[in-house]
Amino acid sequence: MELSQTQYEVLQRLVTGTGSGTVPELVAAFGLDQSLIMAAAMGLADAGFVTISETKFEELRLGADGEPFATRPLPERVIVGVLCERNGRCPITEVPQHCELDAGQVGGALRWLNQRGWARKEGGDLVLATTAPAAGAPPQADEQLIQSLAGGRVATRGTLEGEGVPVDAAIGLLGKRKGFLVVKERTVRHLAVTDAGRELLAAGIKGRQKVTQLTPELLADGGWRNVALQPYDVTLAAKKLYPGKEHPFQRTLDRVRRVFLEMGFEEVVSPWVESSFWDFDALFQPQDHPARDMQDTFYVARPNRCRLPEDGLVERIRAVHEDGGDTGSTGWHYRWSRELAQKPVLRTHTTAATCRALARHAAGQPGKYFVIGPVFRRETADFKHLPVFHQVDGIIVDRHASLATLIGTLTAFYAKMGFPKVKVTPSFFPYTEPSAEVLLYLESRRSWVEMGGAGIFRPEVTLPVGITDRVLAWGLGLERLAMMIHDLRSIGELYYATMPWLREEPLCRS
Amino acid sequence: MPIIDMPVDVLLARVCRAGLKEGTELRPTEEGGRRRHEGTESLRLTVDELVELLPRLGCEVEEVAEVQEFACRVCGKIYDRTEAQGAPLHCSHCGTDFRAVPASLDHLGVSQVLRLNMLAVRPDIFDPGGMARYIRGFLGVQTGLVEYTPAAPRLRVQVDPQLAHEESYRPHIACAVVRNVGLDSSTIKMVMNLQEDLHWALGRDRKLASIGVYDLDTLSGDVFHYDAVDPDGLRFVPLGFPPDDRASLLTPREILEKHKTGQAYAHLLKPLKKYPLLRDGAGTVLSMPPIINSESTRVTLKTRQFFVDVTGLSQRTVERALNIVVTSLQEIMPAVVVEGVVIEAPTGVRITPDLSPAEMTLSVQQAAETIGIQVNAGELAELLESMGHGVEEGPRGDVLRVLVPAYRHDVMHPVDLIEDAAVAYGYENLTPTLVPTFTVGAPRAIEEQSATARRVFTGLGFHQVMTLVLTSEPAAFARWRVGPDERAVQIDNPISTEQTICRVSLLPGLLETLALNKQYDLPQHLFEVGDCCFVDPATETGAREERFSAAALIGTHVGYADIRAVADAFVHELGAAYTVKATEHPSFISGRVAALCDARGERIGTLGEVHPEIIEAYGLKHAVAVLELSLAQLLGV
Repeated sequence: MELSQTQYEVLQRLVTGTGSGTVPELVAAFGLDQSLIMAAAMGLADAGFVTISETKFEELRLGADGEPFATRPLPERVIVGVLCERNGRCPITEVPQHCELDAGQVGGALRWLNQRGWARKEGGDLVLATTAPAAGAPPQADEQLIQSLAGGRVATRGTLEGEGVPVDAAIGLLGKRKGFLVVKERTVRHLAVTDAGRELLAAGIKGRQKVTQLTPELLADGGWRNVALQPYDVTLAAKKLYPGKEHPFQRTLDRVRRVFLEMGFEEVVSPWVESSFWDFDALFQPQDHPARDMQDTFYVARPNRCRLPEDGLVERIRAVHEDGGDTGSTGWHYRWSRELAQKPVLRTHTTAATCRALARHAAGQPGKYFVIGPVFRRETADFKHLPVFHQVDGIIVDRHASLATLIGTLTAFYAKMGFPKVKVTPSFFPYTEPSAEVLLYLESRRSWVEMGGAGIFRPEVTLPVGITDRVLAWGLGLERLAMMIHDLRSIGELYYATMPWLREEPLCRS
Repeated sequence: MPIIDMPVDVLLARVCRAGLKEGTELRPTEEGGRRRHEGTESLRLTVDELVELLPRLGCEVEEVAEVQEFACRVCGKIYDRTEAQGAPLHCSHCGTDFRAVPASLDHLGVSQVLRLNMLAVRPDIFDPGGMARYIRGFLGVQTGLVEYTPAAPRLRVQVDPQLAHEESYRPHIACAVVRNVGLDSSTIKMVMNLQEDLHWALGRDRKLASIGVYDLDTLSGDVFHYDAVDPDGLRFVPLGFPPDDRASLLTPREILEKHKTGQAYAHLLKPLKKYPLLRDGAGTVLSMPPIINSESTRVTLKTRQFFVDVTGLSQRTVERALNIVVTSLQEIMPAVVVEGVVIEAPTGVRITPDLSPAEMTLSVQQAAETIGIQVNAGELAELLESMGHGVEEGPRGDVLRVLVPAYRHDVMHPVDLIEDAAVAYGYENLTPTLVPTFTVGAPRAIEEQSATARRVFTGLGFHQVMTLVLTSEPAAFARWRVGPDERAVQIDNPISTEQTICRVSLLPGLLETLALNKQYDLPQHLFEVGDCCFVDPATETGAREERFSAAALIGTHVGYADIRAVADAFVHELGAAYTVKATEHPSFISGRVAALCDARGERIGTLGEVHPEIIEAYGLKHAVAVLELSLAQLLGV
């Protein structure tokens, strides 16, 4: 058993004193709040070291209406004085002229004069009764009580009776006068030490102070050894805290980036403002191809013209468009325009970046490149589309490259991203042959979701930039992947983020 | 990508046709998954099997839909409409306004269609005839080259040399006659859809090529004329106008003004001084390409023979479109006979359509390596034959001589044949592997540094946002109390007024995000690390990106000191140094804004308390302090 400091002191006071005491006495003795004394007492009682008993008593004080009469006589006493001076009779209407009472107060006093048998009404007159007290006669019971409670005094019935106040009679009278007297029933708790309590103290137990905060002072002076650290309700919820976090989409982009780096890819980049040459022409998209339409592509007004690469490459691209050049292709059979190739666009795919990387790549060497970045399409914003979104493009230049290794690479990538079920189906794109569509199985929706396109670059793309090995290529949408990972319904949620989402979307989801 | 509606009943009937007996089921073969018809009888195919099959052929099935069929009474054009689409408002073929003349629209009933999401590369499979041919090959019902041999020509078309002049340029024409036609509402619909789909896929909305189909029995003479004519020089009744009303006789110019289709395509002829016109031997107008046919020559259910023309700007596209039209017509209506037409052009005389196959040589080894399979010449030949190609083995078995059908103009190079072989083999039957070559991964430095920058901000308790990189001049400049920045990249054809330029600062995006979150508890700490884009004549494309980082704080007790502390910590953690100089800036409170400069004194950023007018403009109610600096310049990247 361990006692708090207060419990110890209460117990000690009881044992060294009479063995019992009331709570108010202990409050006065220790100068502590009553709640602390009671808490200590209850703890001692629960352990059987004290008993607590209650006695009830009445407590009296004057009400707001009774207070004024502590210093002046009751109205009926005043009227008796007036009647005595006027030979025992006076018209009721004239009474106010002879004292400080007004007509209303006089009217109110008639009932009491009559009830006490001090005067009675005869016609319009008030007549003093023979039983009326003479001037200077001792105060009656109610008057005594009023006087003894003067000055706001609060006293118990026992105290007042001890002073000789006829409390019962006084309450009988004053109880009928509204607002004159307040009587309250109170309880007083008595503590009495038990034998067990005496033995505990005799055994030499000491109290320990309970504290909530382990302060530097307690640590500095070693005081913590003598105190009890208050236990808490450890099941209660604490205040919410949010660490600063990277955007959930950023986390997805980082994971994509990490996966490609792990797989031995070199990161590359290309400008947002791209020449039509690199965005389309170098990828064997004819200059009248629908994808190049003003309807689908953002053309740039400022700057309004791009420089083209070295003449040799431009010439090879022209030839491959017009008649296939020396690639073995038939070409598109039209007059290729240098001017159209110089038109700047906001890049429509990150394939522009991998294509540039391919043009820099040393022929005959193996290589793997990837790029992550925004691309631009002239699309009206809705829950699935925005005019800007992110893609990851990758290429593998390798003499072992094949459709089978393309599927293997994409499967490995998505498996690392947490999507083990990948399906690749045939598709048709202008710059890859064979071409493929990449789909992921989404368990939560029980359906296949398209992620992007892939294929093997056509010779019309690779030969003009001097690459003779096969080149695997893919361009995959990343917003859709992020929406699957973060379970979003609208692409806008990524770009118009709310604080609750930024704060609460857990880091483990990326 | 357009949606092509494939009528299920017609497609199934065409796939399973060829006078074979009913009853043989499709069975999976041992090669795994792929279903191949075995035996010589016919096959039965269900809708579900079609839906499962088409993606393996490169056709994405959007849905199997019930559609309402409507017909235009004026021209006979049939429309398939889903519940959501509702009845057509006007006829896309003849221009009749169904709202004005409700009686001209017939409701035919309900049918089932496969809605396919198709890319433009393979227009030969846009119609049920071509699609059925493709599927039959894949299933092995009918493999190898389908030979189409046009009958000897009986008609000639003389081409006006003026059509090669710039002021009346539409020089190319290819024609065919199709005899023994038997039409019902379903075939008429397919003929018209075929035309429209080719207009989209090949014709670039009629610009490069446009197709006309006419009732040959309404035409006379053996020599037709394709001329450039005066827009005001003659009159004819355009398709959709009442033939016996004199007011229907319009000049070419009037058609562009008064006819709905004329108005829609007027831009194609307006720049010309003379308009193209196709007439028969008696001077009857067939059509004014690429706008409209004449009313008198239109195809009806009674039509027994077609005259078909394709005109356009590209010889190759024109011939390709005609080849697809006539071969698909042959598939849709197997009884028809296609007949050649002599084209007497200024560049020479030739007969169209030319349906002879193109010849190509394919290396067996190259095909096997590209697909990633072991395959010999015979197996490869079989794969190609199931895609409709004719194949002969070379003398040593290492190359194949491939005959490519005339409707497959998308085959430009042997790699296109390799793709066909891969599709026939089945992508799902390939074994996924990785290239065995070792390569070293290499990140870009700025990306690694950006990751560090993000780590510092998150360590300081900030949340990252990612905002759109497109913005507008009012949002980027006027709202920030500054004039337009000439370094901003400007879009020529924006799609909305909110996205007209590339961002040159991250701050507007941060404030927009704060505005979006004003109902949530404060303070809020946001940051973004991302690219801004600037016009730069020194670069190849005329503009370049630069990596920036920015942070914003909003709260009751937010001020300069808070954001300054963030800036100091940020720069310290990145191992860089900067100097802070007092400055003035219209976007900030006077005396509470600083310029951040690098060691050489170049300004690389700004920090301070945002001007109250801007806070008000964003509808915010608390003080905002921001920081923005060029990460690239800070780190000297």
